[in-house]
Amino acid sequence: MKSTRFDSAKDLILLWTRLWGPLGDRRCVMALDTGASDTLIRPDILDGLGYNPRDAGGVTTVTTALGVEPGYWLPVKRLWALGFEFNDFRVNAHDLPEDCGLDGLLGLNFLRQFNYEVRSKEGVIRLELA
Amino acid sequence: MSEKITWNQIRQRYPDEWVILVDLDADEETNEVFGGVVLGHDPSEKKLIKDTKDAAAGTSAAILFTGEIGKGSFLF
Repeated sequence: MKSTRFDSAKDLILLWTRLWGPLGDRRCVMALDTGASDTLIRPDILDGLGYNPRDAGGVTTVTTALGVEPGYWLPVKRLWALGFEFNDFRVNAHDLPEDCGLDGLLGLNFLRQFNYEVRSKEGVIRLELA
Repeated sequence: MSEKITWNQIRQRYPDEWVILVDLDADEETNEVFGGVVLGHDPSEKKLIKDTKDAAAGTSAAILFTGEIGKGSFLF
């Protein structure tokens, strides 16, 4: 069981994450999003790491309350979050509003590897590999 | 290359901007970033990453927003 602390006073559950690509690695801040089926990363972050839309595994559509927008998915070399890391991890490349300040959303395709508990008042997430 | 400064100093110098930091002062277990050398800063993350792509290649860097994340807007 691993525990990660977050600031429960914030509107979002903000997490430190780390991504690796052909051009290095980037530490980023993502929001935990149990309403997102996939993990989402800004395309610019992926571009800066040396990924290219031509490397995409496929085209995706991102459905939000505001409509449906196209995106693409690709496997990132390595992703670290909440004390665990995975190789060749599938992420969806899609923009977020710049002023929201997020690099991405950590979605259910990451979380479903685990049994987990979000203790909102305490500001703690506990995970164990399922 | 400029000086290494703390995250609080970075937030004061570049309010409500995106920054890319290298030569990081970070916790290797939690990946929390406490400071670093500011390679670039800009209100637009897209422009920042485009402008620093060559300089940041091959580095361990952090791309962070100095403002209040998610403040005043709903994200879903």
